[in-house]
Amino acid sequence: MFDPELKYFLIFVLVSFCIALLLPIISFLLTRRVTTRQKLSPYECGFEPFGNARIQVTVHFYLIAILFLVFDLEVVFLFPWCFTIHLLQEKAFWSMIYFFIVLIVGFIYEWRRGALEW
Amino acid sequence: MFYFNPQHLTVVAPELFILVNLLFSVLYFAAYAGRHMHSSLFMTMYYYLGLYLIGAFVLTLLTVNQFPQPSILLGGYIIHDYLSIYAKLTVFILTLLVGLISRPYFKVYPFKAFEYIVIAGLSIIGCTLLVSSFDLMGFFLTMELISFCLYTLAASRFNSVYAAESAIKYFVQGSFASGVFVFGLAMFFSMTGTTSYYFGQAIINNSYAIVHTYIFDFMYFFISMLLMLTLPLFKIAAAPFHYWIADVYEGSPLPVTAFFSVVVKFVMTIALVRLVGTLFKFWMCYFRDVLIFYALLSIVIGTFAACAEQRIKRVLAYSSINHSGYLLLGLVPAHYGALGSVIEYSFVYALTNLVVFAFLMLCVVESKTLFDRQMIFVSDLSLLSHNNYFYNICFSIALLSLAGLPPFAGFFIKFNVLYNFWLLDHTMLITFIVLYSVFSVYYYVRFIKCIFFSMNLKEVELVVRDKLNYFIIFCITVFTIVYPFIQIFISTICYKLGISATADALPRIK
Repeated sequence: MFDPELKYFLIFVLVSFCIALLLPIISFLLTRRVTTRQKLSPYECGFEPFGNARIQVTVHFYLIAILFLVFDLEVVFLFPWCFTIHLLQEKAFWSMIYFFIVLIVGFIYEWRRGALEW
Repeated sequence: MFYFNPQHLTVVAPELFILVNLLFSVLYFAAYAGRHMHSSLFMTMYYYLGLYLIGAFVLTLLTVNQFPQPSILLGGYIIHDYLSIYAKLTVFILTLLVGLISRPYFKVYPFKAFEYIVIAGLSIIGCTLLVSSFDLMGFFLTMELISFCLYTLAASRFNSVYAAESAIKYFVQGSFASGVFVFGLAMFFSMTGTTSYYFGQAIINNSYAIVHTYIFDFMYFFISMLLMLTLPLFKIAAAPFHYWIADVYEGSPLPVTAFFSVVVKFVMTIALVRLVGTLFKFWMCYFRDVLIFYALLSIVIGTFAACAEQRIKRVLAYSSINHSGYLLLGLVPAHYGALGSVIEYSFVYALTNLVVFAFLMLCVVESKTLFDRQMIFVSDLSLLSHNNYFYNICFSIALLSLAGLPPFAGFFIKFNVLYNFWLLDHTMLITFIVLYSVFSVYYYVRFIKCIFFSMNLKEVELVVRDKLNYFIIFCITVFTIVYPFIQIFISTICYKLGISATADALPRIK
């Protein structure tokens, strides 16, 4: 039914599954466990945690991060295009220009809507 | 191979028109408004989008005779045929109608950000490209364009917990369904070496000779096709993939729910019909049992869950699941008439649903006891017994048509679908489905019972009176009633659309 070479893959999957299953079971069975109340505390060395571990961060950080991501990816996209532009056809050139126009519209939008102001 | 010819860009002129206008509007509004948020901006953008849609409608009419029908354009990504033109025009009209009926809702619950209209416009571009796409990559990309817009629209009430829940659920499950589709697409490509419907269809239709060879592994093919079927089934909320729909319908605001239920469902059905008509048709004898299983599960789950629900939007969501079961039953025979009956079903279903939503948009109650001023529970409809009697009757007719009772349109479309299915000798299944549809009448009649026969303590009328909504309700109700007399014309058109969905008129390659 399937590709006969797939049986090696099947063996690989089975073996890795067995190993993944066996390791926790072995460590569960063979180790000596001492259950004390201290084991349940967040830090075993005796500190009681004070305050919440999560603090609220202003949403601007996320916004800046997302904008950074977009323009970073744009550079990644732009670099190979710049280096191979003498090999490319006209269509590749204009599709990149179109991409720029859309990006610039987005940039003007977020600039005017105040996403870049702190 | 098909080559990209820039002269063919006229076929996507409506989409380009909307896109360029949206970009300019975003620039203009952002420059004009700055950080300012006001509902007047939203309403201005809303009217602009209406104008863009009308312009795109006219442009679609102008491009009808630009190319011969059917023809494959733009590097094989776009097909220009009767079905795509019909679906484009219908999408523009349905979106305009959804926008018009939501006007009273915007008056009561004003939206502040004009971006939602831009996002809705982008999703409409995705819808029109989806119905005319003739390549699995194009199918996937336009599906993603629609989906991302819809995830955002579902969360448009960003201060509501329900909206956030619905958007996250929809996003997670939708991206999973997309991933499954891409996996199926990769398998399909590895086997056939093409993502085009045209070449894929040619390979599948000529696969008698090579079916047992090493290259054409039938089981592999079967699994890849089933995986690809998952995404459109998820989008029309057929039963094993239906978990998102009730929460999304409930969490998103009413205009967005109407958009989901009327436009998106119509578009996804057309896309599914094209997919099944081209790629699945030849080996339908193997997919038949799977589709029947999905359909029966949809009908059973939709009916049972809707009977148990108390909230209006959730009942409508489960009834939507029930209807997608009937749509899938229509796809099972996969000949011209059956595909045509599914197209007819989706159109009439969209119109009837529009009446229900146009009525619900007006149901804004001035009452302290309801925690929202909207109608939420089915029993809240009892407040409407002192409303205008005529429009209560119209609403009831729309509900009975959805339930499929004989004198109205809903009966005839269901009859067409079930008749084509019956010709395959599934008599036991047909008997079961017809007897089972009695249950589905129950939850529609419960609405009507609450309006006409419930004791209500407060005498409340519809606060919002909107003549345009009344006019739309009246027109579509008249359409529902006279449907048996005009059905012969609509069925003939839909038969031609069914022929077009199979792409049999294209020149064959051997």
